[in-house]
Amino acid sequence: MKSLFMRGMLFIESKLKMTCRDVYPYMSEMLDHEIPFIPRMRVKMHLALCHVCTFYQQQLAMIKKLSENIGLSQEDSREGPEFSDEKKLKIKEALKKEK
Amino acid sequence: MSQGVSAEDAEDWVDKYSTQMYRFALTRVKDQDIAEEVVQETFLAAWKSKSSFSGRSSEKSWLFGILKHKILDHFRQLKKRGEIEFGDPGEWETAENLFQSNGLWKTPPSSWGINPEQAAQNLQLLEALNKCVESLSDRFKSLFLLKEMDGLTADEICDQLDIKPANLWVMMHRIRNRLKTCLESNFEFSQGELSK
Repeated sequence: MKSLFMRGMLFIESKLKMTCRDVYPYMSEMLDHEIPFIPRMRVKMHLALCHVCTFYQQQLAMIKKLSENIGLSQEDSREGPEFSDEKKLKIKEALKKEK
Repeated sequence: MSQGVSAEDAEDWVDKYSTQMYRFALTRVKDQDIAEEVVQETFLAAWKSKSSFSGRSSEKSWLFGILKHKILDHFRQLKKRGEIEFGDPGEWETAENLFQSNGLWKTPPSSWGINPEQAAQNLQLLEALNKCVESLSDRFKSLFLLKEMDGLTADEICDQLDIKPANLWVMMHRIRNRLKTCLESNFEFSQGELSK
């Protein structure tokens, strides 16, 4: 018969343990903001043991990072229409009215 | 710099940055007239708030920061007019379809075999990701561009577009998941090249 201590430990483990399905909603959310301490620790425990979920989280993180890079590169885009002199003049005239 | 911004400086900004800003705005709002309007509003807002330009960032970063907020404002107006809806995250597969009843993945994700540094240098991968973003529905593409590519904060987006944070997290997850699936269909990770 299991001791009270063992039963207590098994109870805690069952409460902390998460399946891949349980962890799934947090893996994207953790890229956006810090989630509360207890679920954060539970997710970390799961990821430490589950390489499949670790791959998944790394892939989401890579998509996020690459998207940031694409966004920055679009600020220097060399392709696309020119902003015509006529349109520039229109803005300069509008600026003059603000002075 | 703030005391040093003259009328001539402001006109120089127009000459130096308007084309880049216009192209950028066009990729977001998809309409030449609106893009032009957004660029003009940006320069006017920049001139009015020139004293807030601290010089800690470049004038280009500062102008693009204003431009991104003007683009966000454009989507706020679209929402206000009922031309776009952000509130409902319900579209595409839910997690229930991805997992077995015991909580394990039905199709476990496998390694892409590429590290973040290699990925950032792989132009074909970036091209594939960009195409996947373009394939998203309008509302999800707008949300992804604002949040992920333009770096606006979740607070700003939720506040301006009247989205509950919990809904934003769900939508961002589904968008990323969609992009992951799309990338895996359009890029050969083992070969490091486009598959189509």
